[in-house]
Amino acid sequence: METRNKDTLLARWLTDDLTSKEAQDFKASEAYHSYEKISTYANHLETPPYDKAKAWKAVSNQTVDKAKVRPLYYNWATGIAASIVLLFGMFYGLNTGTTTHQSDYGTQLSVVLPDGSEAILNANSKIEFNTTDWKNENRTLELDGEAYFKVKKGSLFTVKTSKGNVAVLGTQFNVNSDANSLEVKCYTGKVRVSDATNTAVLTSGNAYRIIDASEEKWTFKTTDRSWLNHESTFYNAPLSSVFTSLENQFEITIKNKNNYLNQRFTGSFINDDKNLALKTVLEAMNIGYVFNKNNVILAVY
Amino acid sequence: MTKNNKSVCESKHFEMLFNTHSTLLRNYIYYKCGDFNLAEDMVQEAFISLWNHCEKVNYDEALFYLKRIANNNFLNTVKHQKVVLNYSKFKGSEVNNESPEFIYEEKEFMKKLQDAIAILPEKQREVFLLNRIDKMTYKEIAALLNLSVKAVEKRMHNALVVLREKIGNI
Repeated sequence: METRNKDTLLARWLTDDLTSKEAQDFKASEAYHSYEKISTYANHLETPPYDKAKAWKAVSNQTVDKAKVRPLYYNWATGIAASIVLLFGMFYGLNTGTTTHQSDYGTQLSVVLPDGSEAILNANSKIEFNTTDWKNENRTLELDGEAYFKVKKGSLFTVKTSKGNVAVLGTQFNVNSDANSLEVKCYTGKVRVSDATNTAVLTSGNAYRIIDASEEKWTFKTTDRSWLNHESTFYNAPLSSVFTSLENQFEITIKNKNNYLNQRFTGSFINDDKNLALKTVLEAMNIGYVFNKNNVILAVY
Repeated sequence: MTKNNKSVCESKHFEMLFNTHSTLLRNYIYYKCGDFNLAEDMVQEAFISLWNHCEKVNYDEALFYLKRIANNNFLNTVKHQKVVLNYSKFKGSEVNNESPEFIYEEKEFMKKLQDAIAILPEKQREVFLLNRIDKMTYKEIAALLNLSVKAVEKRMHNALVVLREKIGNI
């Protein structure tokens, strides 16, 4: 009996489950002190903190909250989804598996990517990716415009733009690209930016710009307001980017801009007041202008 | 003895299950892999899977189901990852006004203990920590791991023996 239970003795000792004979013998043994110390100390061990509320939010988003909405749009949504698929099929050839998301003038669009990562598109921006590639762990997408990315951990995540590529593993960052420049701001984690000639690795709070062939680096506060809070902020940015941003935000056309493209602008404008935004940028730059319908005509000197 | 026939598909029951089990599940995976971000991802996936299969799972067996899913995902993704545990926060001893030497010794011992736990065989480590940290009884652990109580006690016993060996003279 005693020998049979010897292999659980220490376990039973912890739960006060020893016979008095066993207890007596054990307490007299040489090892007793050590085991007592281990047991006391082990009671002080803790796991790293666990944010249960946050975890529940993540789970409920994909379970109970999702289910509540489903019945409302299920039927016609299938129809629309089918027609969208058909439309894309017609535009992009039948089996490429390419998905495109395009935001309108003055609006933002939040897109959940196949791996659960998130892209928030700023006004008049477009992303395109191949769902088949994503299933094979090839997380690559093309961006035209500006977007903020929240990337889930996983394989390499690459954003291609006309000016260069941005590659990360899991992080939050902003990419703004147009015909002349590529601007990347890294909010958390690490980001690698590269074009034909340059490569840069950014950590949290670092920003980087490739304009024509030269590169620029600066730092910013990750807590600063940005277009995600309906405010467009620029640091020593070429006016060409600022103009593009104004045009996208307010669906306007800026004329005669060629004289001003190489000037630099530092500052911000709010995204919900056209007149104020134009005033903020153009008066600060000392540029005379006339605003007529949806055309902004800049003074020619 | 009214058996629980609550449906897992109902949001309030599902939320209740999350509140009851998620911490334990997360710790259990953490004891296996030592990476709490990964552990939390596993918990999330397990609960999403539970929701998607809610008709097939009995309310009372939900924990077992969750553990199995988390375990499978764990095996699929990180079977060969090196286990590095980092147990934190010695909350202070029962006696606080000790000499610096004593406090230093305490710290040293804590470090030795943590190192020893990190190299325990996985099966012993999970039992040991579920009991010590999550305060689960042997019976509860046995149900979770689908083992007999006796088997759990053996693992616990062996864990202590190994820990004492690894820590050495104390």
